Amino acid sequence: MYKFWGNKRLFILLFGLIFFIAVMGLTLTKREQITWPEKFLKDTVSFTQGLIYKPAAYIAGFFEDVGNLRTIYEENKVLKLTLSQYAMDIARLNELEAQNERLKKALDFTEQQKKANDYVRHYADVTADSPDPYNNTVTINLGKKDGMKANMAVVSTDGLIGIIKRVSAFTSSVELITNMNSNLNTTKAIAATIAGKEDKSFGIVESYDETVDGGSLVFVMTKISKEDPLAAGDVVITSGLGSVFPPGIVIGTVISKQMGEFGITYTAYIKPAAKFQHLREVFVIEVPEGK
Amino acid sequence: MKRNLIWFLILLFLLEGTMIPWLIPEVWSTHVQVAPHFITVTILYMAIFMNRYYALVFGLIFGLLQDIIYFGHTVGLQSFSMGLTGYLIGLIFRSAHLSMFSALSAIFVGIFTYEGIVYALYRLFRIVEFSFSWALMQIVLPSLVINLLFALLIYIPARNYLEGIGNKRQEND
Repeated sequence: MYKFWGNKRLFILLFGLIFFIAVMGLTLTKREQITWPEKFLKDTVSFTQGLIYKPAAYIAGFFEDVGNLRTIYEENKVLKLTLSQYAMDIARLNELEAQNERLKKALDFTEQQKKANDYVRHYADVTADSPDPYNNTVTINLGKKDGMKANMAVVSTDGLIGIIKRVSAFTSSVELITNMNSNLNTTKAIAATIAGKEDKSFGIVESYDETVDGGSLVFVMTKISKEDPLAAGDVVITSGLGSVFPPGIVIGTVISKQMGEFGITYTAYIKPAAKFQHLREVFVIEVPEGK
Repeated sequence: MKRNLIWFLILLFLLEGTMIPWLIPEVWSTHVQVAPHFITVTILYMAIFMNRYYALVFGLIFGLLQDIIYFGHTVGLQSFSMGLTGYLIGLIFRSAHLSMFSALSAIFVGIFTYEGIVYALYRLFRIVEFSFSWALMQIVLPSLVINLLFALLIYIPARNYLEGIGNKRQEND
């Protein structure tokens, strides 16, 4: 017994083990505020990484572009067609917007409600990507100086990709929604609905699972009521009811729907719309104050 | 001499989050997740060619750096895993001269241990839910291939450089 306590190395090793488990346990909770050494370190490293990430992305992108040359020619033709369509649509949009404005006035909307849909999109460059496969975080080059705050939604051109987790002066960490897990109290579940059936459909996207569809990861949408018209192939969007994510952002398409755990509600599996690798530019959505 | 090593590790850390994800083809990442652990590989070389205390200290420092920069779930997880793996591999493969094959086997065992510890810790805190067999096929084995390729790439310079530092230190003692 005396020898055991005399063994200093073993004692230090055990102490280290306990210390690290304690630190991990403590930091597992909600932690939006960061200490200043962390902030300083993060800003310095992220700035340097930003210098490398962009050229790397351009070089990789160049080789992809050479490979895509033929498809781009075809794409160009199709895009020109859609462009003419766009011009017509914009004319129609302007007309509808004017009409909407008139009707809102007629309905006596308060100023606050009018502002509620005035979302500001901030363009941001990705400066780094986490090398840890269990922890999907990216760093963007907007921080507190640019008006970033925790819990702002981040989207790519394809759909929802994540949420701002922590903000330092010049950079912020974005937690991708592939990190979602219903067990963790730090996860923000997403209130979701179906595009085109917004008033009839509701569910909560709260985890990311590998159980179906041959091992590829899918989102799990739970708490769908029995009368819900949700079916395979529908496009899932955010409903905005949770007041974290603004409404109308595309999450993915429904793969399948099945009876939930307790037989009261349904569960649907959703294929993500956005891709989560090789991110280059993203948009941060700022919800105006007063909502 | 040692200052160069620190600069090399810092450069590697910067590249790990920026350049290397772009070198991995996008086609792979739709099927499997390939994670570069090049700092861990370098730390394992330090454990083999220098000694386990260097590996422990550098593992703790660069693990903590990764924990802070890419904070997602917890602080201390990478630090703990890298430090412990470096120490253990240094302890097991203590014998003076390893052939190239046995050095690479040591790296193989080291990366596998590291991935095992990281998975176990994430599972312990219920951050990941999937089974180890799934993680093995989708994350651990593909990453192992990439990291072993990197280990092979830097084997000769790492051996010459690190053994140089290690020997000088022994002479001073």
